[in-house]
Amino acid sequence: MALDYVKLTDEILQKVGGKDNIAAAAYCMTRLRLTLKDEGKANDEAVKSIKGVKGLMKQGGQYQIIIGNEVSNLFKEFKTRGNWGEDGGGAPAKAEGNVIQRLFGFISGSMTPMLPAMLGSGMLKVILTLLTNFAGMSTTSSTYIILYAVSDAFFYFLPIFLAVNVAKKIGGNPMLFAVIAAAMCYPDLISLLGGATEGIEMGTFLGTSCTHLFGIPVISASYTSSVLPILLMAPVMKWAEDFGDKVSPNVLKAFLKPLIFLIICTPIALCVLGPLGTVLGNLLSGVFETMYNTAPWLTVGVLSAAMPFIVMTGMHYALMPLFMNNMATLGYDVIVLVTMFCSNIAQGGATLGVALKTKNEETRSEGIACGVSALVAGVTEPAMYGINLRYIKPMIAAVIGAGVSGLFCGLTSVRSYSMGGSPSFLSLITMIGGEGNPMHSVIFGAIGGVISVGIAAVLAFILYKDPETAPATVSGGSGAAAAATATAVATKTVIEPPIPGKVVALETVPDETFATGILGVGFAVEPSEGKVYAPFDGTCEGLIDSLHAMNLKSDSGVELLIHVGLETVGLEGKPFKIKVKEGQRIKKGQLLMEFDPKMIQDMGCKTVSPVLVTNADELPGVKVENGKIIIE
Amino acid sequence: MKQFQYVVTDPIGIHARPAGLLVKEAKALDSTITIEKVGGKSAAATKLMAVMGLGVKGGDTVNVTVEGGDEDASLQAMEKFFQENL
Repeated sequence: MALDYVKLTDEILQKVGGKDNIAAAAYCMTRLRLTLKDEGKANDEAVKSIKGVKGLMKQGGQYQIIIGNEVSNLFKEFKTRGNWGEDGGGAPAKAEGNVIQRLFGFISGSMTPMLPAMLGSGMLKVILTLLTNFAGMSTTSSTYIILYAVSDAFFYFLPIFLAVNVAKKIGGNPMLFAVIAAAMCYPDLISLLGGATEGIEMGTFLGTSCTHLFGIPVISASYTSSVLPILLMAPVMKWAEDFGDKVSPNVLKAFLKPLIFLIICTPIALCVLGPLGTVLGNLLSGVFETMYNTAPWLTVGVLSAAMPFIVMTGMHYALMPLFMNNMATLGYDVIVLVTMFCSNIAQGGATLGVALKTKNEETRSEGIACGVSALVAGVTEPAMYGINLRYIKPMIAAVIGAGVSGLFCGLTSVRSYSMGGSPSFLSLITMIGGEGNPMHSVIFGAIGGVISVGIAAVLAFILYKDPETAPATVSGGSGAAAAATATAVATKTVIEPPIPGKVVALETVPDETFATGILGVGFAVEPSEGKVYAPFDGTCEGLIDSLHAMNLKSDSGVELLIHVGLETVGLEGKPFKIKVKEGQRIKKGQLLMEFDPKMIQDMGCKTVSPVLVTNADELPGVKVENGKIIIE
Repeated sequence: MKQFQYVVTDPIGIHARPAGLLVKEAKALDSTITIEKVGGKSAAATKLMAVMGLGVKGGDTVNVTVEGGDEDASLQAMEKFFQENL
């Protein structure tokens, strides 16, 4: 389904309280991640009911609108509407929630803008791994060195990128923050701290080697690829910037403020928080390494099973420092990438199980699409929100599948050696590497993946049952007539084309009123036969003297306009024969109208016929998929 | 409550397209707007089906009523809409 990004942007902006209520906007795989100044101004229900919005999550101070894979296209339009930072531009909003939520929000908000760089670099690393392992490229060739530099630059200078984002997130000056981070990655400083500078004696402090800054010990550490030092420095840098601003007189502020900032931050970064961050980082990966070494199956199994819930809260991005830290200190990661691999694939497996079991064609095609997206691209939100969570039982199947496959991957020490996109079957190639057999993790990872899909699919197949199809198919009787007055739709209604023929997107109809969706949500039919059948049980609400259009209302409260041909209002009813009366009960499949497509064309009109839900704003969610209107 | 009367000049009347535009316009205003076909039914201007169901044709007279919110602005917007579209 092609979304109208301009319209969608308008609607989102309107329903989150206007563009002035947005402090920051960014996006990830499937979500538009907004930071709102006042979440109270946003109308959650209205946002959820926008066509094209799949769901809404509020987490860590972010207002996350789930759009789907098209979110990057939407964002192109979205970002033209306001001058928001990618995250925290201008005055950042007061973060909502408790300390933990705010901390997670801060970390994930600092990480998400780096995704494109991270994924691009990660994939290039994967390609290089393939070239060296299978295409005989030498790691000493100049081509390799150049490409490796490009693929590694982001990870190597990660503190600098991170500092820029952190500054934006907490309202500091990105360039100043970056200077501190860049200094920590400066080649001469690295060799000094590494004891590789000739003529400089290394001292010892707290049992580790050190150099000195004005006599203060500077513990040896490597800050390239690090995450924690800059995260720890964030509040200090913010404070130093404000302090510098406060104490410098206006005439001197231009250079005095940044100078004060650097003078304050340098010793703190190099003597206190940098080393502390390094120690904490080593400790953190040490803890996970110990957990992993003691009970790999338990660690990976439990985390894999829990991963869907972590992903659901959008907090998997807060885990990024963890895996980057693992990458930098251990050279591989298990805790994040492997568990997400097991979990993502199980999500896909479960929806495939549902697709196999269901008798509803709609659910089947959705299940297959969502499943493939999870298995191949690692994009699990459609599977999770579209199928697994909606029916709950597939979710249980996915969690069990992920857990068991996690146990297996833990036991067989499957590891990921580079980052390449969201974990999926494709990311098996990131598992090439390590000592011994470089294919070890790939082979066992693949088996783990198959276990994950298999268990999740089989369990989902066993557990899942198609929901009872509501609206009741009682015809005639007064009971059904009473039901017709209810506006609330109890469950999903699917409206199939009422006219035989080829379904085309509404946007392609050469009539602006229909194409822009002013009249309602729906599709158009290029009729192959001149007949209109009732698409549901309900009533014929209205006919028009020119006979070319009719209004129907389903027992579940859906109002439908069927407009035969374009500009046919001027034909004065000639090509049309109406078979129902106004106010009459109609039954699904009943013939409502006969028309003569050839006569319509001969009289100079187009036969393409829009079919629209005209009260979409009163219904919980209306979307068009695979040539059907779905109301749920 | 404010009201104006309008004689529809479009020979086809309030058919699908102008009805759709009218509904869109009416939804954007903060007043409750009612369209009454003189000698016929009346309908909330925000309900497409009801508006089309009035069966207003060229030459028919309609009463447009606005109530609540900024009535002056809504009335002006409606008058402008009818003159431009119907």
